Amino acid sequence: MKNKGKGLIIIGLLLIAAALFMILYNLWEEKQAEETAMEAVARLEEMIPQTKEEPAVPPTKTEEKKESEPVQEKEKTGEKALPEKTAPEKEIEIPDYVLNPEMEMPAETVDDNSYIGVLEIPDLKLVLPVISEWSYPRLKIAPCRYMGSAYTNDLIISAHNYGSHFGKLKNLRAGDNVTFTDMDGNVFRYEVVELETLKATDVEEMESGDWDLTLFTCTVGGQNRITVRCELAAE
Amino acid sequence: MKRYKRRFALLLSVMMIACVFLAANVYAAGRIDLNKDVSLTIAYWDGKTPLVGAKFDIYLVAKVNEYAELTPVGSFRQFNVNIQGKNDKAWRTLASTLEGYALRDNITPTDSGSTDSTGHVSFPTGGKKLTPGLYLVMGQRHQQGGYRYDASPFMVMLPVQNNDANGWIYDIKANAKHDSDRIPENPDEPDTVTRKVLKVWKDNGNEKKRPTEIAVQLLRDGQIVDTVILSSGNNWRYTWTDLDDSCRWTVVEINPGDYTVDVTREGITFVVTNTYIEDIPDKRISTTSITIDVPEKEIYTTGVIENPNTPKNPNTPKKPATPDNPAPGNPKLPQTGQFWWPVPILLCAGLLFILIGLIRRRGARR
Repeated sequence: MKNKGKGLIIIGLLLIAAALFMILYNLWEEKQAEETAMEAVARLEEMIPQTKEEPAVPPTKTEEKKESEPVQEKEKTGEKALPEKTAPEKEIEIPDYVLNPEMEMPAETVDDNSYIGVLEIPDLKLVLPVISEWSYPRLKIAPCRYMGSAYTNDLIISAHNYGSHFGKLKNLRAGDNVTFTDMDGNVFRYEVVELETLKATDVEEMESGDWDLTLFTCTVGGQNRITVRCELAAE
Repeated sequence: MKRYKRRFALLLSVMMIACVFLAANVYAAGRIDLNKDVSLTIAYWDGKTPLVGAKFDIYLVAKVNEYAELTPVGSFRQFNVNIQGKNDKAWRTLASTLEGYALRDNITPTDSGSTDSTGHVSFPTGGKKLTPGLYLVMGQRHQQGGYRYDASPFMVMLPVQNNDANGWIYDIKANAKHDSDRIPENPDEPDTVTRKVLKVWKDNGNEKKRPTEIAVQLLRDGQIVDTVILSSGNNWRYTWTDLDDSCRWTVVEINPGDYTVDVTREGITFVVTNTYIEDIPDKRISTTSITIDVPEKEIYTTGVIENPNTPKNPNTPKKPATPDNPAPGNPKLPQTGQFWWPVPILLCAGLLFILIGLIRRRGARR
């Protein structure tokens, strides 16, 4: 009878040990994720060319360049006045995504993972790399593109709820700033519009809507998705 | 060879279909009198200053019959280009594309001439006779008053429909547009420029038919100086740096497969657009500007008129990135949470077991 209750105590201790092991594993995994993300950001920032702010509007032509001026001619039969259009801005570099918004977002590889850019959320003190395509192993390394493109204003980024990734997403408020810089150095500035909580099965709802940028992660229980909807910030 | 014939046949089919739909407009303007001489006079001015001695070449790209049906001729039959100029931009694109081919292949112009002291040049020159049809007009680089002028190539239809009089205009006058730069004072240290090429695919639904790579040639003053391969590996783009600014740089695509090719220049970037031949939008659009109704006050520039009824070119729908591990069965959003939820359960269960164990143990001692 001496051993009565001993087995239960041992089982209890094993369960507590399992909980402790799980805590340690989660903390270790989170630490790893933080370090790999930081390392990737550092590498990517070296690769990203000088950032291009709001590049779509070409600057004014220099004085050295002359433009064709309209030549007015009297209308005759078979002859009409032919105003000329402004000469093209010859030496302006128009971002590729402006010329072809449907283009695939350029990516750079760091440690066998392909990244499309860097996400910055100043209010959460987060600077994170974004992997081109999501998978569960990649989500353990960095936030991943779930779908869409910054060029077509429908980018959706998913990340683990590590504290160093999207764990604090719920703390964002409408009006907070979010910035995404692509691998060409184009900077896209967004503003948080609203937060919503979607079920894990709300795939259509996640992908629908006219949001320029969406960020999402799991709630602590893992059953729902905290979803942050953003719009491009006004000029 | 068979492949080229097939492509040409496809293009011809497109044109034939287009011509069927043109009939109503053509009848409205009457038939073209092919026996009547056609002429083109180009005015080339920088503001109020005539540009004197600038050389222009014109190339007959396609012949026209009395029903305004176009048939590509000579060297221009071999290129995969879409000659359905549905608006002003499309015509400029066609001219820009054909310019590269004409330079690369050193195609002999149909006629050439230089502007006179008033900045005008008239075609035909020297008693020649022009065949009615669609012409490509290209100006050679011209220097005057410390500036160099590069004329923008353009397309012109001879004759062009006169929408006011409901007939045909056989003597066309057009102003040539240009870009100009100041000539560097020290020619020993020429400025350098950067040129980029960017590939755009318009083949929605036929993406699998794309070639895995295409070749683009860089031309310096019409001579091939580099050939680069574009593929998904380099994001279908390439950049040339430190190019001599005193030269004219153009690009030409080779082997576009079952695609038509358009080359336009946007800033320093040459945008090379390949459209799958099945995707050529609205075949009813005129192959020329001559049959298109134009609002009364609208002007024409180079025989290029935009049809207000022309549907816009449908953009390729947005294509999301495809995840590499789609969820089987009921779709679910990615699970992005750590396994924290078992921790309190395990802790509580463990404590409960220990508690029960201790109680039993105490009971046993008693």
